[in-house]
Amino acid sequence: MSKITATDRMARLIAAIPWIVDQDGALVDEIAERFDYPRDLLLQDLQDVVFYVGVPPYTPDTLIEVTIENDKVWISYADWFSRPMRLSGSEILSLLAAGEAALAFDNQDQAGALARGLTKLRLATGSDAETVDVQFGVASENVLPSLRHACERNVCVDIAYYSFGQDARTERRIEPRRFFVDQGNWYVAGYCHRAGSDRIFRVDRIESVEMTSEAFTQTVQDPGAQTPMFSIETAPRATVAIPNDRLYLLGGLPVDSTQPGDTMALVTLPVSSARWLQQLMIRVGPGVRIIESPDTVHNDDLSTIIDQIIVRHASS
Amino acid sequence: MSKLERLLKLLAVLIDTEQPLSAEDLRRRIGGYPENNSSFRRTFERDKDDLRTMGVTICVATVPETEPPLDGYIVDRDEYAGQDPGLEPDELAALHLAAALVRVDALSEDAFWKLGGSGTGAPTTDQIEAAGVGLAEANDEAGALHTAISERRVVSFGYRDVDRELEPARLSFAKGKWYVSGHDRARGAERVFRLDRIEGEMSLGPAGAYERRPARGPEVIRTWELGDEEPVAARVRIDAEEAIWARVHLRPDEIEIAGDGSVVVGVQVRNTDAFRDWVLGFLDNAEVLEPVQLRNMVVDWLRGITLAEESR
Repeated sequence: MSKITATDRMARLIAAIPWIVDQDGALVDEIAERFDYPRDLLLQDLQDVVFYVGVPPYTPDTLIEVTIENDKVWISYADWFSRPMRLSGSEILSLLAAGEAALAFDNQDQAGALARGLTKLRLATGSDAETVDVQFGVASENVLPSLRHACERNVCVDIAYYSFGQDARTERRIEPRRFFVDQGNWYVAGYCHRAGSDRIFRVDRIESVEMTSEAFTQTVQDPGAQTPMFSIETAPRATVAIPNDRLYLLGGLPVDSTQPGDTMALVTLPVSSARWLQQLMIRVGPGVRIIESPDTVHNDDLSTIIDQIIVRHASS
Repeated sequence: MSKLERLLKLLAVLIDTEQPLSAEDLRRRIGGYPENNSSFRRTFERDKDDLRTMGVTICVATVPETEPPLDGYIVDRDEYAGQDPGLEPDELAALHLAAALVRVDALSEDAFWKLGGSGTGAPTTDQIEAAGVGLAEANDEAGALHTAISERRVVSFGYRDVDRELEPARLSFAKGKWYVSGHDRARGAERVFRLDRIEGEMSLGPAGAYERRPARGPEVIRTWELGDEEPVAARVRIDAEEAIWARVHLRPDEIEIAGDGSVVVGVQVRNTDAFRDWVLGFLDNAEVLEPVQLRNMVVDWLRGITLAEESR
């Protein structure tokens, strides 16, 4: 246990005191566990510190009363600390966020303990659905709960997935291992049997999830490890000329360098797939030019796809 | 006297008092501060900082009947303590489990202590790789705005080089960003602001400063609705490959599913540029069916690109 400072102990005590007051004899072990307070230190602080806390004139009726007997603690006359400290705005938001996100993974529990707890928390903190709205990402019905169910039980699933880079709808067997959210989308990471390697899937592009009877072995991962969407370091680079008034389309994208000019800027950026670069170019629109592109991306392909969209819209 | 005892006594006295107490008065009442005046000052300042870091709001006000006026300190009992949500043990455990499952980067154990401790016997989540949830950089501002909304405080801040006075009504986290919407006093209308674009410091006015009115969140998906153009009804076919997008992101009454797996989406366009940007994001997997002027707009846009290519 690393050194626990006076302010750390203070934060625990002003939370623990109202809880203990409400119990009729709280077990020392339970207090220690609930408030992450080393047992010996807890006993020492209750006897040697809290016992002497109060307000002038520090007569018995203005001091907190602490009784410790048979491993149980009673506290009374702690009027100043009779209620726990208010949750801060960002604590409330983080609690709601964690709770709402977990609810998305669990369709069994819509009326369960978590949903009830969240409702109470919203009521007590003035954060009803009208005033605080936390959205991480959307998914087809049952997709997140099914994936989580499979992840918990180490069972492979068959998913129908639209792959943007390949522009194809595919069926694949995956081992769902980890979930994360980025820029308003849920992702599931895991081994893909079709690809024969670890892959990341955007959950809103998963159409359906079927449980299988094939089990997989969870590998212990470094908790800090994150499989990136695509490796920004090793991805091929493209350099493109973009009109200055369209540069905002790059907001949020990783960019190596931007060389400003009078009307256009030269931008060098990593490219995840040919199709990704094509849609960026087409959205940038008139004036865009590819100056240098990786081998996988051809200028002709951009013209071809532009022609296809024109043909589709010109004939009616 | 230990620092822990001194801090607890200081907080108890500040909560107990009916009127602001001067530093000297607090020194006398609490005892245990250094004899030397300047080291007392330093210790007292550090104690106040520690309490504030813990989240305690210490009000500074003039001590009554002092001339020259003396600064006094007091903690409002109701501001110190919140309303207890009264969570049952299973509800607290479920919240704790949710926080273990969904690792929200800004959430620490302290929040759970205030709710009655971490709860015992919560199942471990070893089998589940936690889902890290980033609440973006603007989390401190979001926290302050939450306070402002619940206490109906007007917030002032700079945004796009203009000073704003906002009656905040709704906080939204969407597309990985925090937004606040409410009544913009200068504009006399409802506005939505992105928190990470707020310039400089945000300041909160006094509580209870306005009547709450309903506000809409940001329509981050339907960007084509965010504009002042005359609304135009448009229909777009999205091919089977990407039909899942429409099924997940749009309301069922906005889409028709065709026999070949494609979907036809009906939308109201108030922002043509955003509409074009959205449709072209699907590349050759989407087609504007009607109206004809929006079909032509797509063709003109694409011809503009090819012309520039050829004229090089």
